[in-house]
Amino acid sequence: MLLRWLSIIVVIATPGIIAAEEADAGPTGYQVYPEAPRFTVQSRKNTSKFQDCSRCHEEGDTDPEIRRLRTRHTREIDHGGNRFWCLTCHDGEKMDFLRTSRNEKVEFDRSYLICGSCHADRQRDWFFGGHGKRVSGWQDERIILACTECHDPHAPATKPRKPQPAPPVRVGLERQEIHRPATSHVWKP
Amino acid sequence: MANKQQTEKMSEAIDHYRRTFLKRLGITSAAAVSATSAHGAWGGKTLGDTFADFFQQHYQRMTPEELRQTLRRIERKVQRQYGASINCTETPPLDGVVFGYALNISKCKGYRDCVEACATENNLAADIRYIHVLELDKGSRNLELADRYYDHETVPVQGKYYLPVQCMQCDNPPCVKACPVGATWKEPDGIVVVDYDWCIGCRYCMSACPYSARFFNWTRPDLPADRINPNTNFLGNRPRPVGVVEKCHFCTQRTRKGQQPACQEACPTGARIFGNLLDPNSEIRYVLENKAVFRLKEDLGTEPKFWYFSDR
Amino acid sequence: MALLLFFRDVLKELWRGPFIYWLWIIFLWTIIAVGGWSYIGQLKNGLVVTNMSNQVSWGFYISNFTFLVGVAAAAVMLVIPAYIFDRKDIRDVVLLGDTMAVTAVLMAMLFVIVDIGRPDRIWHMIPLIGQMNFPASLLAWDVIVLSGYLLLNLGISFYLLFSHYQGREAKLKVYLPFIILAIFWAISIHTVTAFLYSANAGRPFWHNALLAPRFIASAFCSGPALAIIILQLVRRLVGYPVRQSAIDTLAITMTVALQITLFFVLAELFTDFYFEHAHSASARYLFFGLHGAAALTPWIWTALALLVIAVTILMIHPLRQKTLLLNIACVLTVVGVWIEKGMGLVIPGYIPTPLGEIFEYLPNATEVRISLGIWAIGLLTFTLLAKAGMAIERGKLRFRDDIEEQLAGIGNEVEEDSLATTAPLRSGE
Repeated sequence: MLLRWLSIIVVIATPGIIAAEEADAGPTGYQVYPEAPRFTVQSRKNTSKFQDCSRCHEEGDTDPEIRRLRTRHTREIDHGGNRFWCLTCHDGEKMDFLRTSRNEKVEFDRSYLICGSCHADRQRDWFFGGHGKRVSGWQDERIILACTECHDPHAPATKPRKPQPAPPVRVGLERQEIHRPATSHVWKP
Repeated sequence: MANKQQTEKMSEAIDHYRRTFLKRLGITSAAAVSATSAHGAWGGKTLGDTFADFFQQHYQRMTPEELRQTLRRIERKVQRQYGASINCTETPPLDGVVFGYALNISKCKGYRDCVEACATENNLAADIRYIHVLELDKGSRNLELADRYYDHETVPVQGKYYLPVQCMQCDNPPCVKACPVGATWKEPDGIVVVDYDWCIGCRYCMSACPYSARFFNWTRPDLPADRINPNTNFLGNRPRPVGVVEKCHFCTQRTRKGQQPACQEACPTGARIFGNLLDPNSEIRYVLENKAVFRLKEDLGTEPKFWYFSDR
Repeated sequence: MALLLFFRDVLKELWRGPFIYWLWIIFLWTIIAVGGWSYIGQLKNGLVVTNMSNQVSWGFYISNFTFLVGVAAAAVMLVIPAYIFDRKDIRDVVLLGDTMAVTAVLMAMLFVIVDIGRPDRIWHMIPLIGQMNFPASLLAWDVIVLSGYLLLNLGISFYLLFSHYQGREAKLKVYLPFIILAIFWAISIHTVTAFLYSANAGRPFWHNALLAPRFIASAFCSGPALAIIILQLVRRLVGYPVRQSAIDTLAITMTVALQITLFFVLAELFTDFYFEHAHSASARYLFFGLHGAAALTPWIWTALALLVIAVTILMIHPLRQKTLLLNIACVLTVVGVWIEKGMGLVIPGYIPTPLGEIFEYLPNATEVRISLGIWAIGLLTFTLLAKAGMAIERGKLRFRDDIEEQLAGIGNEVEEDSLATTAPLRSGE
């Protein structure tokens, strides 16, 4: 029992791992999907938008009371149906890290470990390539996008946007207006 | 005796007529040849290129030297016709590769980013788009009620889903069977290609295709020089001539070099999954083995290599 | 030698004729010129000058092609009774039937040539030099059978005419095997053309087993109908002997074929509409319109009305015997079958597209002009071939008669260094 707790502390104390490799040994040392093909997650920390939280927050200075924040932070969280607030995922003590539900510290570049704790099926797909976006060639070393590239964790639903224009018809011909029935034959009473 | 005289007179008459005819033909030909070399007739073509174009062999029967000369000739032609300098290469298929494509219809929002990226990458004429994105009502797959021309303020629209359709690169392609001159065939890596310089433009393949995936150049494509993609290949995205059929070829100029097709790269939601069906660890294989996939018009026996699946 | 004189005599025959003949020739050439001018525009700009689209990729040209292959096949209708049933009255007119076949095949080939995007690449289809996808491609089959049929009919006609030109009877045992071959070949050209359509599994409107029988049945209406009209014209304008029994036989054939054709149409209507489903969409478009698009419904209902009127006239014995009514029935049949097998078959196969899109098509002026030009070429060819053929058959052109004078004339010409003949061939004319 004591040995187990000691090993956990040792692992946490180890400096944060860089953007994870394949057969991800999670924060507690277990492997998420060892049989998944190797991949590298394209880092988000290296983008210009990203700021180290420790620039403003000293270690351990956050107020743990659940409230709506006022300045410089996302106010509304449209995720989890009002069951989440900031410190659900952000670690209150070391603000450069996220936290799992067991209070383990997770690097921002491995934020997928947090997502996967609720979205397990989707995460399995993502590990194996059935979900998400591969940005390297199909034959090259597999580089994929982090969840948060497409899904803002504070409001993950994809927002509607304007599509590209409708396809053309043959040069010299006009589009033909065909009046199709407004609804399909999906059953209605 | 009398008969022999008659025969001789006839022979002399025939000889006379033949000599005069050939003389006149020769003068006319010489005039034609010199006229064309002088003016660069036929829209600026040289005579040598014109003849070489006309007698160009089928791709699969060309010697490497013939192919090399053909590629240079194509580059010259594009320079003359469009004022753009391109690089035309041959991209042979890779060994141990059969390409497959899967599309997640719960991720596709109908943006048509793939359609436009394909048009730019593949030098498509203004009126050709290899990818059709169909907007359908949720719960129905009745294509008769699909709308390809949707033009909403935002997509996705409530109650609809989106089904992008492009050439399925069938394993049993009806278009290959239909072509009378063998201008379209299935390559070892599974891609169905077209030799644009062999196609006679009969459009029988277009009648045969069950997916409306083939397109005809009704006129010479009008490509602005500054928008031409210069990285081209013979069986893929080089600017096509008038009067020939073309279609999606899974971006052979990219995929045969290990890159993703332009549509996959452009998709912002990651709905498109492309890869090697022969690689058991590929993403496409994971999808086929773990997701509820389906193909369009599977009952026709075309064995398409483009699957659809959904997360919900 | 006889061969050269044969051609010279034929050309002479074609160069002389009454005023109405020349008026007809000039009229046809005018239409050909207009069509030719349109075709040059099409060669220059591409098929964009037509109304065809990626949705409806075959149109008016191929509609005409389909109809004409049927006419060509049905010329065999004359041949079967002439030789298999040994009807001498029909044997007289076999040559006209053959001429009709040759002309129809020629027109069909021209319609294919104007339809393809790269006519400069036709040589790609020649085996060995090019690459012919035989036996997989039905189009390759079609090219082979049509070319073969053309050569076969030209060969048979030429043999018959050349023998008669030389004052000899054509040897039955020489040409009868080719006649038998031509009979089977005629059925095959139209079956292959039908298979061209029914091979497409992705086009449910065409993909049925009844298509080939429908083609043969409607061909055996339109072919004899045209033949009856032509035979009567020839009898009246030129005084060529055509026995009424020949025309009666053709009329009876046409009647039965028309009844079968209409029965097949009924079968199609039942199969498509008794329990309508996605595959019936094209039939609904054709007969009733689909989602408001109904450009072809007047065409098909007109065609069916014409055919029903025609079959009524033909079925009633005393009406069929009346020349005027028979001719009306023939014209109605030709027009009706032309619509039903042409626009009424080719276009609905594309509407809706395999992805469910409705994009309509009707021919535009350029397509109509080019098509009329080809029909004019056909009529011109028929006129010339028939004129020469009939002249030979009636004994006007014979090999032996002119040989001495002609040779004398040729001998004179050799001295002059000119292609043109200045001295008359026959002195005193």
